[in-house]
Amino acid sequence: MWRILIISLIALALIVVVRILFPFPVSPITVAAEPLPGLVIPGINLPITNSLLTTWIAMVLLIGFALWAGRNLKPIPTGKQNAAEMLVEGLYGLVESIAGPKWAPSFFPTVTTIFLFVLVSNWIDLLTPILAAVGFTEHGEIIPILRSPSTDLNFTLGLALISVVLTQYYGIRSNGLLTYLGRFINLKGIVRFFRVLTGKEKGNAFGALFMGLIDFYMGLVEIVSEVAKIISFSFRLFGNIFAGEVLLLVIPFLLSFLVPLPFLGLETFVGLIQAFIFAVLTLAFMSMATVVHGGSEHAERAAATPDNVSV
Amino acid sequence: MDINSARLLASGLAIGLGAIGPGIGIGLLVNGALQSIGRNPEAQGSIQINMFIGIAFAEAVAIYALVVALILMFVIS
Amino acid sequence: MQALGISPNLLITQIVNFIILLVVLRLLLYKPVLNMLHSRRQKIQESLEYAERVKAEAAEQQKEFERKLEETRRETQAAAAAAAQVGEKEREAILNQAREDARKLVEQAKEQIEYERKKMMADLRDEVVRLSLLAAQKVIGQSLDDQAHRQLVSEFIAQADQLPANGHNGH
Repeated sequence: MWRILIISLIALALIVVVRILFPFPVSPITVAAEPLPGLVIPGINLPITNSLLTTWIAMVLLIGFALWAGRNLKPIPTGKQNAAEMLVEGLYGLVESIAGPKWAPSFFPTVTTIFLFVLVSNWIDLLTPILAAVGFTEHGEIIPILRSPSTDLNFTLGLALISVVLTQYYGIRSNGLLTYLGRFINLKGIVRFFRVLTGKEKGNAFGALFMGLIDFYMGLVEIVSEVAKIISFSFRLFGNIFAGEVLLLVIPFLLSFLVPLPFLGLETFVGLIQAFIFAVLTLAFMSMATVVHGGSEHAERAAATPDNVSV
Repeated sequence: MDINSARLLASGLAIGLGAIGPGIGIGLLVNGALQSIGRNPEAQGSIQINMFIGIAFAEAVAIYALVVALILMFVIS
Repeated sequence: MQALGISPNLLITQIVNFIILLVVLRLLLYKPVLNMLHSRRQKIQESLEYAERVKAEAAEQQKEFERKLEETRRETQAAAAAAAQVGEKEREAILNQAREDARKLVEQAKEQIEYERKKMMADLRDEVVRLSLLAAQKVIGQSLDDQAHRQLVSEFIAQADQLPANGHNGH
């Protein structure tokens, strides 16, 4: 017991002394992912950034897992197959509980892939204190070779775009193009105003105009909220994981021994939650888009779906 | 105060002040969710999912503050 | 945009990455596992249905068996009853036979006895005739005409027979 304590204290003192005597270069905290020097795919002018490289590693990990767990499936599962089945079955149950049995098979692959991809890239972020120290040195600063994809806006924005575009696609597929567009450019109330004005329909012309304008305005708000979705999706993930990375980089500078552990635990949790939120929000938006919106009861619609809250 | 210090100060203030509202909001949300789980433990699954969705909406506001802070920090110079 | 590190090339690359991952995972993980789960669910369903069917069949067989058992028991009982009836009849027949035989024997014996008695009676009558003849001869000392004599005695006996019968009605 005492021996362990003494050894620990000596190690701690050594680390502090080494840090003071040989200050090794630290990676700067940058929002943009750094391109690895000299690595450019020429034809399309694509600089290979450290986060792109890590994205590929995450993909390889996931595909490796799929190859390892998804092969030789037997009716009576063992070990790895149990893990794969638990994962797939649990996620499918979640998708089905939100989207219902009709749309679950369509939503499941996208939602699950988002969850797994984001989860792996979030958890790669846990290695930041190690990753940040491995890289090329340039002007006394380190360019790390690896960097969690979730701390690269290209990655999160790409996922957000896929999520929102697929939401529109499923909305159109389920409601038809005109009905779905009617949600954004809502002319029903104004048409009703003209019908009232020309006497084809009974009612208060002023009230009809007022309601029609409100409906039209709400449609415009929905357009804004669709665009805001992209921003909030991408910056939510980016902000959370980037903040976690900064935290994990800064804490070891304050005290590099034992203290970072609780933060690593916190970041594990945050990574899981963020992956979950990204997937579940995508799922929720998709299921909302597939629900047919009827009538001009904007009050009911506003109460039933939170999607005109600017997200 | 030169422009750089103003920029840094604004950036800090943006995220700091912007986080207050969402913080309160998330607190209220989780409060409500936990109370409902306490009253009706069978509904835990759906309450949790809806809680997370609500938290995400509340957090979006903090994210706007974060975006503004990042823009102040890195884009405007 | 540039300062935040967003560049169209990288953005498109990331989207392509995601699509590749989606396709590969769908092919390698989701489809096989979901198919496996589906087929297992089906198999379990089938097994349950089969078990249910077998159980129903077993119950049916049990009922059938009990029905047969009951039938057999009833048949056995009927057979036993019939056998008992036959035995009873047999017994009755034997008894009747025996009774008949006994009656016949008694009858025969009676006939015999009657015959003997009649014979003895006849003998006795002859003897009486002879003796009375003899005695009469002796007493009278002279012999009657034998023919007349005999008639006389016979008449006497007939008269005697006409006297109140001693036990033998009609004789």
